[in-house]
Amino acid sequence: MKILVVSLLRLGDIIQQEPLLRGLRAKYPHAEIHMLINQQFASVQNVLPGLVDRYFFFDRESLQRGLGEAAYNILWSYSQLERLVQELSQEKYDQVLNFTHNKLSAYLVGAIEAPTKEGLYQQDGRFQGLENRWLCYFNDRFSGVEKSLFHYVELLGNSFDIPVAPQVSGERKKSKLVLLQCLTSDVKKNWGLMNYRDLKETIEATLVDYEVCVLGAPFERETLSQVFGESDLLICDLAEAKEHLQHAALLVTGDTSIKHLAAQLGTPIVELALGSSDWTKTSAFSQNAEVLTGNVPCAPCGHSQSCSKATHLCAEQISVDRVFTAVWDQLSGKQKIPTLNARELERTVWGTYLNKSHKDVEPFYADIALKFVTRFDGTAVRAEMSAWQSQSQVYNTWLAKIEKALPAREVLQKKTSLQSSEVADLIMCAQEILKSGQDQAGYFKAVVEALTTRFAVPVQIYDRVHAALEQVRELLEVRNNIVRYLEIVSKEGAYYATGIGQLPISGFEEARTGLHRSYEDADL
Amino acid sequence: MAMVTFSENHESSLISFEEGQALASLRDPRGEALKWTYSLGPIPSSHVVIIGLGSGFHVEALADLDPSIKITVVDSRDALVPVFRSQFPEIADRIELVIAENVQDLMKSDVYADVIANRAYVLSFRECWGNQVNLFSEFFGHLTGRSADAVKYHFEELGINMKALYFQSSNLLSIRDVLPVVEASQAQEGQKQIFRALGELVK
Repeated sequence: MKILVVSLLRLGDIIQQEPLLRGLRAKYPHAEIHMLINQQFASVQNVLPGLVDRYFFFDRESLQRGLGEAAYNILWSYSQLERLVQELSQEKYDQVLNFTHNKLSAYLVGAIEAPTKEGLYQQDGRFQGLENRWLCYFNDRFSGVEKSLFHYVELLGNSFDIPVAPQVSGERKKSKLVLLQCLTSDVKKNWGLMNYRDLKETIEATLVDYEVCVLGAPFERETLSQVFGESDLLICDLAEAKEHLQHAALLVTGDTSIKHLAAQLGTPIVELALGSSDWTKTSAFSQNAEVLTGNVPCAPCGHSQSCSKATHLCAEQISVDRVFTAVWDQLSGKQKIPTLNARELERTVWGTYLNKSHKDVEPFYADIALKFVTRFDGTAVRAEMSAWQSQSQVYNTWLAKIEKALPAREVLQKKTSLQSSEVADLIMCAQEILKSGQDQAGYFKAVVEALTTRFAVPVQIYDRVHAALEQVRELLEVRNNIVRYLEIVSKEGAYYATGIGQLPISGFEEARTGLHRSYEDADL
Repeated sequence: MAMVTFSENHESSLISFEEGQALASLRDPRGEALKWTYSLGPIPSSHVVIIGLGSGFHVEALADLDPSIKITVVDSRDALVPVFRSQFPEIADRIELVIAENVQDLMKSDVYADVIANRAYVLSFRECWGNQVNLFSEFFGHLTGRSADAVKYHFEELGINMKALYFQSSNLLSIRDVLPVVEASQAQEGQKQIFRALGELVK
């Protein structure tokens, strides 16, 4: 089997995809895996050993030069790209997986000849792949500052049915080296060199046997030298940085490619997610990472815009003491206890919805609820239950209001134009949802978008809202069921009968040591 | 036909003039040529076309920089050729010289088809253009495939019907001018996908 992975992204993104490549390799251990990456990030080959059999390069800079400079033949870039596409088609791949998710890669994947394509690609004049619910969610949430309940790697893993798991903490290293990666690719993601200098001094003064060094690329030397001494600096390329990270006890970093490299190696991380860095989407995919964010309403900001505030508010929210506490916890190996909050429930609801191949497929709610209660303490679930039920009521009320306010299709079909006053109730519903700020999980996102869009023909409003309501109904049904099962499971434990035998709700199996739960044998 | 004359400078190099206008630096023609050559950066093609022969110093400089590169020089003034051959005998055989008095002459030549088909890199040394600025600009547009006629030539090669194409023929065209025409054509879907991908690179 031959697989091509298309990843025309930046360095950090490619490194971040390492768990996906690892999962792909585990799924198809005998497959020949090739990867198409941007030429400028060819050095990434050195940090992804054993996962990719062959790399192809997309020379974006040359292609853009060929398109932009008059001295080049108008079709020079066309010829170069055509040659690459032909070369890739001749490889006769069984599968092409587009990990990139942009139009450029979609067109490129569309041009490559292969029997199976997954991810976004263009064919028959339209973009394909969005029928996959996970990919559709990815498409909706990753374009701007939209909130996402799932990490980038989780979303892609589910989209491509590749099992992924965050790097787990292994045996604690005996190393006494703490690394600081102070500079990021974007000034608004930086915490500030002076803060890092203070942190370095605090660590060295408090944890006297630890050495603190500053990682940097050759082009960052001059900037770093303004604050740190030459002996503090570890100026290196990517492969050397990997070596240093392998031997480090901890990395303190902003949103950088080095962070993803450390996550890949299982090195403990304290991450400062500032500016446009959104921890919910692209934080270090590792169980050994502690993420600190500034609690300000403007964060995370857009990628392309500069900080609009007079001072760097999100960075100011993170004190040196707070970072040092996180450093201390990480170095002392303090175990993170999973905390239960509404986000965990919403992740479970959306995950169940997105995993459904069809709306009529009924998930096994008892199993979902049991796994949830096993992960989080039953008492904690019971404590949250009334809040979740109240939230369900709010959602159901909104749904009922919109359903009532939506005019019949036949009525709208007869109209050639529509005044806002004619759908005032609908618009009020959208405003109520937006103003409440309660739809953090985005159940009504598509409905609100439909109601705030201008349409040329009135009946289009009905079609868009109707389609969005279908999704809301299905989501709320999943949510209501999960909450209901959670209530049963958490109130009565996993056992609905007490006394001799203690029959678990999901069946049991006999083992030498006694009776154990078996979720698979639930038919009993 | 423009009046071309020659004069020796203080280094005994022959400098060509067109109606009194020098076609290279009088004081330091080699320095000027070297500066131009170094300004070009990496050459992306094994075949380079230079528009304008002038006094030939820039051609020599480029030939010295990369001994393996194939160089074609296009000019309209045939009087320049014998002096170039005598002044630079060591490279004279390496350089392909094409004299075209007008665009029609150029397009009829084998060189034109070869340059277009091989997507050659086309350079202009404007200091030697003298009074031929308009004609040489047209040459540039045609040889880079950026004139309407050249695009038509390309499209025929790709099997794209461009009857509906109305370009402003005086402008140098870019890939963005071409994209809507490709999209509306009966070109193969694979070709369209490549053009669309290129369109994303110029956004």
